[in-house]
Amino acid sequence: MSEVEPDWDEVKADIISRALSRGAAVARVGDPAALTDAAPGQRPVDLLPQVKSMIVLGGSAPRAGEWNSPRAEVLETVGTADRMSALGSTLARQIEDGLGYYALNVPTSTDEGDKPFLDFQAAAIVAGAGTPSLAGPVLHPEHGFLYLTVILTSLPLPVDGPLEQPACPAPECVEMYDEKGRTPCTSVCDIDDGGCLGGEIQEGLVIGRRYDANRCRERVYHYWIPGYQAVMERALSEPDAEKRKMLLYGSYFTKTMWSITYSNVSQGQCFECVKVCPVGSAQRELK
Amino acid sequence: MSDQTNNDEPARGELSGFHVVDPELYRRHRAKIVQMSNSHQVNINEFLPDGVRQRAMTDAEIAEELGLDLRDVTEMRVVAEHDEFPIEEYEASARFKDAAAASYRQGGVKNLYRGNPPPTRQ
Repeated sequence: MSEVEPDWDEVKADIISRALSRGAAVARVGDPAALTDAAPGQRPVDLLPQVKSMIVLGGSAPRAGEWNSPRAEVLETVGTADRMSALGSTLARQIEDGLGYYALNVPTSTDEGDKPFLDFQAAAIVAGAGTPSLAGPVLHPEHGFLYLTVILTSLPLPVDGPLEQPACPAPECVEMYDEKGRTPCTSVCDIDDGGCLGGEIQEGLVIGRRYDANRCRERVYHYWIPGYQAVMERALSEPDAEKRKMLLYGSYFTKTMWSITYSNVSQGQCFECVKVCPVGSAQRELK
Repeated sequence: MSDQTNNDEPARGELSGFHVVDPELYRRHRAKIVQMSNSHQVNINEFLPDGVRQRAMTDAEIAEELGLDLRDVTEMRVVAEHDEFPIEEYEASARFKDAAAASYRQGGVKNLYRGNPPPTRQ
């Protein structure tokens, strides 16, 4: 007796519904073969040879109160990416236990060579969970910045595909660029003034985008692994024992150690380009 | 020891019992690897048309281009990515965020941070 082919649209709708009801703001399905830039070892098929679909979840952005805190230190210590990762694990388990197909929640930690296991942003773009931005993070037209998680599965789900209209640049940014030659994000973190971001807008499109990834790393992970390494390099080459003590017991290194200890909430430490971004700003403005 | 070469120099990657790159090799290739990798991106976004888009090269592509060992390229890239800014720049990051947050508090997008910290932080 042949097995009845499931209605894949219904299967997909059920998975998406579960994700949304458990806290995802966005749940989309992409074609894993569309990640054509991925290097060998970082392609979906390298992680799960049976992969046929890529479920991308976005959500758990900082709350409006956190966005509006006058203390930059608040946003530095309220990262909630792990909530999306936990949701991805739950969904993967439900797919395997309930449907009998492979499901791999892509690790959010770091692969060898200090690289991610998978380019989550590229996965989000091909699935339509958002579009690229001048600031850097993938932005969803309604929600703006979201944390992402990706589940690779052997389920042959219908693919959503990329969004047709880019979220960036927002109309307000085009207006500001026409007037001042800058957007909010390139103004706050100007690559020509010690920041990370640069680029132009022509006919409503971002062109010539420039991004200093090393500068961004130093700001995003500044009380974290890179900062720890920078202090250790200085301390290990400091011949004066008293000066070494000042470096290692000082407030910068102490906060860095606390941040590493509470790593799940401390991995994103700079939000200034997104804080001024109009995309999704309605979610960040309350009474 | 089997890890020693004929002239008694340590074999590549065995200087400390795990794979590390010869500092001289790093000094020689650091700038080129940073330039070819993902560190300083120009027009890498996926939506750009062919001919405009300039995606970063993978470690394997860099290794082939420069005639180097892949693992050495990966190591040099990782070291270089963390080696660009000294600890003073990390302190400057904290002051940048303080100033940006203060500017945002005063007027949101309408009062964008222009690069100088507010008087209270100087």
